[in-house]
Amino acid sequence: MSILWDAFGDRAARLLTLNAPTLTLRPPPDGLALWSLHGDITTAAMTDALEDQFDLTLPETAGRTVGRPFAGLQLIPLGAQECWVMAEAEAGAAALAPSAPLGQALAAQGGAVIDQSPGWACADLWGTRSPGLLAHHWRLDLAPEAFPVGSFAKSLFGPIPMMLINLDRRVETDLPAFRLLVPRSLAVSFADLLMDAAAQMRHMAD
Amino acid sequence: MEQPFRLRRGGRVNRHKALRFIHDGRGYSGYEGDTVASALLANGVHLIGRSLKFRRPRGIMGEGVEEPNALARLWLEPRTEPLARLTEAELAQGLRADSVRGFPSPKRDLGSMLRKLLGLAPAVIGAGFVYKTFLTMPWSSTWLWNRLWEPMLRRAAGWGISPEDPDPDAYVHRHETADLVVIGAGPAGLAAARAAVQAGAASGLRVILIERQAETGGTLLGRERTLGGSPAMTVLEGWAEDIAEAPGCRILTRTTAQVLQSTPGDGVLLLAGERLGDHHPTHSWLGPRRRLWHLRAKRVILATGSVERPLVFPDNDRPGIMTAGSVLTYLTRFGAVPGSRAVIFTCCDSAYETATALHGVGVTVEAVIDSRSEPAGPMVEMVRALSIPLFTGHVVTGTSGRKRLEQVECMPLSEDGTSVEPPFRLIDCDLLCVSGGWTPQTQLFSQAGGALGWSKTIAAPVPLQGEDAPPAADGSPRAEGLTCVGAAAGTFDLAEDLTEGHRMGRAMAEALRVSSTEKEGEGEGERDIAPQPPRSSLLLPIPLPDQNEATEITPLWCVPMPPGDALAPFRSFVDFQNDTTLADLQRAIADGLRDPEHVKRYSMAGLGSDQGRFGAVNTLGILSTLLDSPVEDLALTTQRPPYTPVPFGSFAGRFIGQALEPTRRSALDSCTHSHDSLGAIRDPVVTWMLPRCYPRAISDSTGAKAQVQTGKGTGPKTRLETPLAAIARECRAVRTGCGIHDASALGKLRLVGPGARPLLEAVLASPLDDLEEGRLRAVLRCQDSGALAGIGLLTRLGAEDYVLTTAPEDSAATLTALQTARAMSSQPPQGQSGSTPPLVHIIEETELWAVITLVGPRSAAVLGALPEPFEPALLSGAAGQCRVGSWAGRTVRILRQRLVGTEMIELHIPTDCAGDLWDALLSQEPGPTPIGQGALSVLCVEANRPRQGREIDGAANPRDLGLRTLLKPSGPWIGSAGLDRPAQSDPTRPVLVRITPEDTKAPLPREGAALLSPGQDDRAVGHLTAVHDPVLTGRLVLQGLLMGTLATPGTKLVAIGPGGRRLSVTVAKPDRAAGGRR
Repeated sequence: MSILWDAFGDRAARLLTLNAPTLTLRPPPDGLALWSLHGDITTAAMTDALEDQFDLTLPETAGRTVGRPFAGLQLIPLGAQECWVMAEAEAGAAALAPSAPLGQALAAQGGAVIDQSPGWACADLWGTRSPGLLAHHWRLDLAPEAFPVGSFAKSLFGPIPMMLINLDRRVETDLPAFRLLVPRSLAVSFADLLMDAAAQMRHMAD
Repeated sequence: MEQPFRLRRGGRVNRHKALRFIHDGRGYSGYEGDTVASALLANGVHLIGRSLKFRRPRGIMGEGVEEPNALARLWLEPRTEPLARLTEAELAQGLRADSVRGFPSPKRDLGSMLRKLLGLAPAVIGAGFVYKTFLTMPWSSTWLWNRLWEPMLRRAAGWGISPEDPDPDAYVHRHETADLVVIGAGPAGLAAARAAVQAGAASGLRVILIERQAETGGTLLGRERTLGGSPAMTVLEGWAEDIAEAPGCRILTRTTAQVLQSTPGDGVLLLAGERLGDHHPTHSWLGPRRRLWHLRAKRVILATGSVERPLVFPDNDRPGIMTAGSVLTYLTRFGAVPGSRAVIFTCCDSAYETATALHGVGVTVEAVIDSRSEPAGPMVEMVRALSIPLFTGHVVTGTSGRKRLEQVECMPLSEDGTSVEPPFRLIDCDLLCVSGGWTPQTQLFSQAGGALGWSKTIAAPVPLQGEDAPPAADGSPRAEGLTCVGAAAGTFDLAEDLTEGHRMGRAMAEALRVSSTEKEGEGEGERDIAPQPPRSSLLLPIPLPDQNEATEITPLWCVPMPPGDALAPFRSFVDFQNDTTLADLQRAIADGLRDPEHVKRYSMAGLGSDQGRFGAVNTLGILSTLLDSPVEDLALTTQRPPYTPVPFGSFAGRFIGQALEPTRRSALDSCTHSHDSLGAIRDPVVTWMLPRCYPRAISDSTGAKAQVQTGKGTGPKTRLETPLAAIARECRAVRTGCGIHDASALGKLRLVGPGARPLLEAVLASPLDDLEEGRLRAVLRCQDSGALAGIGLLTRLGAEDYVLTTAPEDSAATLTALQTARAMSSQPPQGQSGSTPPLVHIIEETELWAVITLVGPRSAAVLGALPEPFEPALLSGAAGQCRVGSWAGRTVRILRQRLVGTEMIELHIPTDCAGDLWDALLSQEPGPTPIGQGALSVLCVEANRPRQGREIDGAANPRDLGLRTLLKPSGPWIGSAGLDRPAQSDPTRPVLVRITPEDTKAPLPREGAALLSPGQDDRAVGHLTAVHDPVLTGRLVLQGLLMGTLATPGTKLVAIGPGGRRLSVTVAKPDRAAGGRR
């Protein structure tokens, strides 16, 4: 999933130089993987299986994740029929194996587990100016009241589909931190767009 | 002497920083803080251009967005603005301003001389002149209009010249969300924003204040006022600081609200353009020139102020005639004195302040002429106290002067006010300050759907708000979330402005806090709201002005024309930008027009970049007089976005050139044998950039010496194959060996669940009955009309697990069709209680799987020769089978088929390891030959397989394209009803045929060339969809869609070749030579 980081190449360092310390781009944690669970996650069987497997309860509010993004696991419910799991590869693979209870619960209702990792590019954006940088092309409100820590949203960054997760910033610093997920085939275009926005931002106030 | 008309002190310009600039070739100086207009006035320059039609000399009339005359081409190298308003353009060092009208210069204008020589009097070239003369007269013609008259008239109109070079500037966009946006940082806007910030501080209310000018203060920047005993600007600056320092709040100066849209229940969307670099010399500004803010707000307060109207009288357009309020602003804010001998002409009180101010700085005020017979009030008394001559019940009936005002003529009004009476009086002056009252700036309110009404008190349209506002046609509230305050709402008294703004800001903050609290009460209540102090203590008291500013007006839409001057209406200008005169409005009424919208289009009054800010209300007033109808019964013409002209670049932002749309890149673009490293030439396919072919360097053994192109690059030049030669080589490789193709762009849709099969049967037009697990087949998808939408490949991976592969062009449409069908199946017909359909998950897997295709007789051998081999079981199997296994520890699907007439193995592999497999396959010796879209297209044509976007053109149905055998015998499925219509079986429908040219040496027609039937008077009976050169296929292949009744082998036709050349062709027998059996 570090393809997005790769798409930035040397430019990621330049971005850091241009805007440091207010803006930093980092690769995702090693071994981070993404799965999508397709099934009715509102049924009692599925809810129990998810709780047993991950020791996490799905949030009641739409647009919120649960879990510990820096501790290896995060659940991202995308509606009643789909939930994504972002986890370290080995832990996630074991948890989502067809033989595991969760896998069995899914199979029982004709659901599926899909490894989404190959299709997505990921990078983490940190810094006080990161909301301002994203606001060049991201239409949704990024203010802490509207998009608090643990929130996620799927929308467009300019013309490019993107999933944005507001990361738990207490782990390292108190700076705003976002995880960016874009389709793999659009990673280079996205990197171009973000770098261009960062270059323009250098010359003006937020 | 530099700046001879600049006051020694005063104004808000920075006198320590002088700026040099050029206007019409002459150098001048001004100060930081000046506009170009104020700097020109300080230098005594009044003539700044010529009028549109009559080429009359024109000068600066206003001070801001309402200015109709002061338009110029601005240069600040390398930037150029073709039609900038000088009253808004901030002065910058090295700026050059060239008048857009007047050749060779506004002072000596050839157009003006020609007009006089040809006798083109205003009476001749009035409203409708161009259309009547050049489009409807016997000598006129469209040909002449397009080639002669229109170019000539456009050039003469002088609306600026668009730069031909690429725009050197960058433009950016910015999205922001706020609880409250206040537009206009004048006294009312600042009071509203400050009150909202104070009242909403505890709840984290986000307030954005937008100001068009470089600093906050609005009208008070150009007035000397006190608030609570302190200078007003000192107080307002303190308020602005309070707002800017509040958390989550910001002030955007140099930002103009351009577009406002209100959606009931969904807040307000506002586009506002911020001028970041316009006022900076280019060499010292590296950032973007403009930033377009996309602001989404729950509420918007409009404090956009008002604009002073001029008066309509003969020769009211000479340089030196200005609105009284703008003269006061130039005097107070910029310290520029527009004249030395002034006359004031008014029908309301506010102009009296200008007389007092001019008198105070030493300008001789020759007279104040008031159309009212008994004006009264403190400002009038002050003028009387200064012994300034005051002519009440008088009007100005004419002016004189060549390039600048020299004299005004005034006459008394008759008792009933409908005529003027002798004696007339001549007054020498060089400045005439006019005031016809004030018009609230309601354009943004109107844009958002707000309704306007007529206020008799101020004689102008005002926004209808609250209970006065009528609902929209559908019953929804108009302009929901918008509120006008201050002068924008028709309140011209400063004390009322401040009080109203303050009250409204507080009310908005409390309303938003209540709605926010209610929302959180419904939700999980995570937002921590601190206990609120008593609301009254949140608000600081506001200081009020020390003088009353209420202004009385008796509207004077048009001065009665002086007796004996029949041409006076032709010189009485209503709309200055378009040279619309009183006579034009009279002519429009005489021609039978009644509606103000019709009169606007006929006379051009209210059109143009000033959007009729000066003339629209006067036009209404004059129409009411001419039609003998109350003015309140006439509707103000529609006001449209944007508020002021906006550079195209501002809307385009960064999405220009190659960034216009994103480019999708295959996973195989970043491996060792990437497409670029193989020398691919690419073509766009939807948003993908797919290799068309891979030209190689020419060696002596290729035999293609005649067809070479030169490789690009700075190194030694390489002779490369032409694309045609490369495609031909790739085709040969497929026929004799093995080609390798990156098909990752294919759409891949996974359907899982018990409902997968019913859904596929509902959407696809091909039968699925006998599709067993581990098998695949070609399937058709139709549109509702029965036309073929696309051909896909359906693979059954498991009992309830399918993968549908589609062409890249058809991927999104197929996904939409499946999702729509799933949604519709879950909704039983109205009145029926259907059962819940079986569950199906539709998963978009295009990004997850790369597809590497091996084509040709050696495909299996190539696959079997990999250093890290596949399991033998995976390599077995026949066409139509799918095997799932692993390679290098990753899942791989191997699909075998013969859709292009030869063996074809599709390797579906996760995108993150696809590059390894691609590299491994291409590293073999002899390895497969990379083939692109070009070769694949040739193979499809050879195999009679219709291609997306060519033969599958959205009109042809499966039967037309010879795909009857792939159709289900009966429905229902999407398109089955359409396909059953008689029209879809009409024998004249175009069908796919092969074509043979009679002269094989003649230049070939191109794809898309028309096919004509010589036996039917050259009627068009079809078109060519494929023309393949013999170099590609070893023989000439032409294919086309031809009217079914003519699709008999041997039918003679004509194809239109290059340059319209006719080429005789014959319908050939169906071609099965390439093994294209279906």
